Amino acid sequence: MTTHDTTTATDARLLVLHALRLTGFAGADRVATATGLDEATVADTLAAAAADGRAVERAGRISGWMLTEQGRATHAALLADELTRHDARVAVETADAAFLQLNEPFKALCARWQLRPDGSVNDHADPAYDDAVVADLGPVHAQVVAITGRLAQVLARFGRYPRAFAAARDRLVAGDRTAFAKPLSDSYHDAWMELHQDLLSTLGRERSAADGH
Amino acid sequence: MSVRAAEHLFAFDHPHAVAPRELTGLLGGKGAGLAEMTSVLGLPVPPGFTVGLPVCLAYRRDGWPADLDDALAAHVAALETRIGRRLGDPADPLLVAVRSGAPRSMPGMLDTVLNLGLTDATVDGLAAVSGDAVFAWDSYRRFLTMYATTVLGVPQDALPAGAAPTDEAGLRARVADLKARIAAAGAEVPQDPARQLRGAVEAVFRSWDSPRARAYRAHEGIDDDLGTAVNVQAMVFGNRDDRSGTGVVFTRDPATGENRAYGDFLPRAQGEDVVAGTARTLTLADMAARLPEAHRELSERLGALERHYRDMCDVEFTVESGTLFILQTRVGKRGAVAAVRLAAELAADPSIALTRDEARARLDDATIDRARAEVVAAARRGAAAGALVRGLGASPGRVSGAVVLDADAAADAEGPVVLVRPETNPEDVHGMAVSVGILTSTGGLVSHAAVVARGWGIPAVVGAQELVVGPADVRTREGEVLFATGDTITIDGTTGEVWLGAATDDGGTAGLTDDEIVARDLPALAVLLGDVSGQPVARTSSSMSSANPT
Repeated sequence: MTTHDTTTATDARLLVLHALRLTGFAGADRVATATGLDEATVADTLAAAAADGRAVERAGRISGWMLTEQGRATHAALLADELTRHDARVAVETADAAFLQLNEPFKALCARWQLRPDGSVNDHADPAYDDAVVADLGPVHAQVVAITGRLAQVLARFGRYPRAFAAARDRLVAGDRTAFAKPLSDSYHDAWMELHQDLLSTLGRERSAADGH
Repeated sequence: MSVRAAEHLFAFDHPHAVAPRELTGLLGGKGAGLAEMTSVLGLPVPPGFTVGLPVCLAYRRDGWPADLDDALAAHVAALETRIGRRLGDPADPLLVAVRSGAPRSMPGMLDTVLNLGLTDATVDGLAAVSGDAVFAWDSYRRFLTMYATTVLGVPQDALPAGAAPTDEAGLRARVADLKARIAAAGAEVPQDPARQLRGAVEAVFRSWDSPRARAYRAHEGIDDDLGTAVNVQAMVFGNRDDRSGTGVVFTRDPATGENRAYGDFLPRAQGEDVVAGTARTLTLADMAARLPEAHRELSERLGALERHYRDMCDVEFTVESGTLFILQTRVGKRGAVAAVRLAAELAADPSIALTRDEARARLDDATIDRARAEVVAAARRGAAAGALVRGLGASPGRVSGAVVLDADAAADAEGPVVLVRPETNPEDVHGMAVSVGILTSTGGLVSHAAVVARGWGIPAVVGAQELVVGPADVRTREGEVLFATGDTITIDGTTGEVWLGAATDDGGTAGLTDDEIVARDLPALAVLLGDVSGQPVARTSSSMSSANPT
């Protein structure tokens, strides 16, 4: 992530649009957390994006911000420009390939966390079962932190992932069961989905079957 | 009277005087299928040979036949010549699978040993030839485990537990540990592949008389004196690399009779993984995405098999480095309702064209009675006779709601909605959050939709492959509109079923008699029985049950 003192208006726009692209849907507070920008900057940037048709605020049953189609196009162009400026394509491709190796194992861990082997919902009444899944997350965690840590040396904004994964894992180890896979709650799975989308978006790709669903 | 074993061993392509499929009494069901597939259908079957039933009967009567070792050696030599690899060759070993094959299907009851031929000497050769030491050592680990438990009778809990290592050093250590524990149990896996083979063949013979096999036969009414054949076949490896995998597929849905291939695929795995259910399988659509050419060939082969057998078939296959192999095929087991539907559809299908008598002969009275009872019970429960479509139950619970086809519409809706998508991604989560249920046409049990739905406890059905989700409606692959935005549907995230209408409906059955329900929900039965009212008028007794294929 770009450090605060060098954040320009362009960077803020990229970071805010990027946060919306990755989460799909987020309140301003969550955008601030994801980008590391202060709330006033986020509010200004979101308002500007809404004014030129790049983001919309949805209110009602569920409220938050999301990109418009035009916003997605602008975001893609900003990312392509960033990739060129930092000459980062090889590093991102390398990270993406390493990440995809981990994707199926991680999804399988999510399934194990949520369902018992007989297909019933895991009611988390068996600590030994849960502990085994959390233990098996260990090697995956070490690798995804290493992958994103290396990538952050080329594109600093990827530096948020090692922190996000570590924070979710700490909560999980401390007994917060929602920290594994509860959606829209800064869970490990949330960070994973965002990283997956981030790698695809940064490389200018759409999700395909080879990426898993 | 002693039996000349050599007269009862047959290569899969042996020129039998009659169609091999008629020879289940000699070759067993699997052996007859392998011979039929190899010689008549020309399918890509890994080569091998069958030890016929008379040899098993001789073994049960008098012990190991005197000339059986020589007969096995002769057939192994022929197999080695054909493949260009030798059993026990440390440079490039032939490996074989040894499987039982009774005249009547007894799934999972008899023994199987895979990867036979791996030894301390050949495992390195396999590693060198495949360029993958992890693959070779993992195969050796599987073989030692299987041989110890099924042939040597070492109890499972005497062997190392826990997930297998995934690196070479870890696997070498696991193999050493396995050998030590097998020795501690007073057993030893032979290092001579010929002795391994004899042990495995004898284990299959013995397994015919195991308590669980006897119990199964007693329940299914199978004669204890039939015996089993043994099939010895060159191994192909579904766990060789990322372009490999294994699966099972029915040419039609065995639960509903619906005309679509239905099955499971497990990438980078061997058959035991699918059967044991130890791993979560993918759908055939996932296979098509990963291995399009193998999937295309499989689809063509399935059509050919169905036209040949003139029935719904059950096929076990493996893809090794992108190349498809058919491991076995048989007429598929099916439920009673599906049996009725299938008989009618196979009569109507011009490529199969069963006569009405043939279709009728496939249903015995017990099957018809069961089908009627199931249809009536389902209708009275409030579900339509057959679910509209079926996917994978990904997050349990049964819910009804109005169909919405995109996440924004879900977020804007007033009442309960079911979000229907080809698949979901992070941009859909706001719509998923406010939906009472989620239905997708692609993806498996570890898809985004499945993980998110379970995370929120929202019932979900994923991978309903028959659905094509459009901008305003949802259609079959043939283009028939099934439902549109705003229609009420019900999904069951446990069974994977999807119905039109609300779950609380009585299905409109309140004023109907049982016969009227059967006529409405299973019209195929009236067609088969030649009576428009659905009342059976031409009952015939038949010894052949469609649920117990020949």
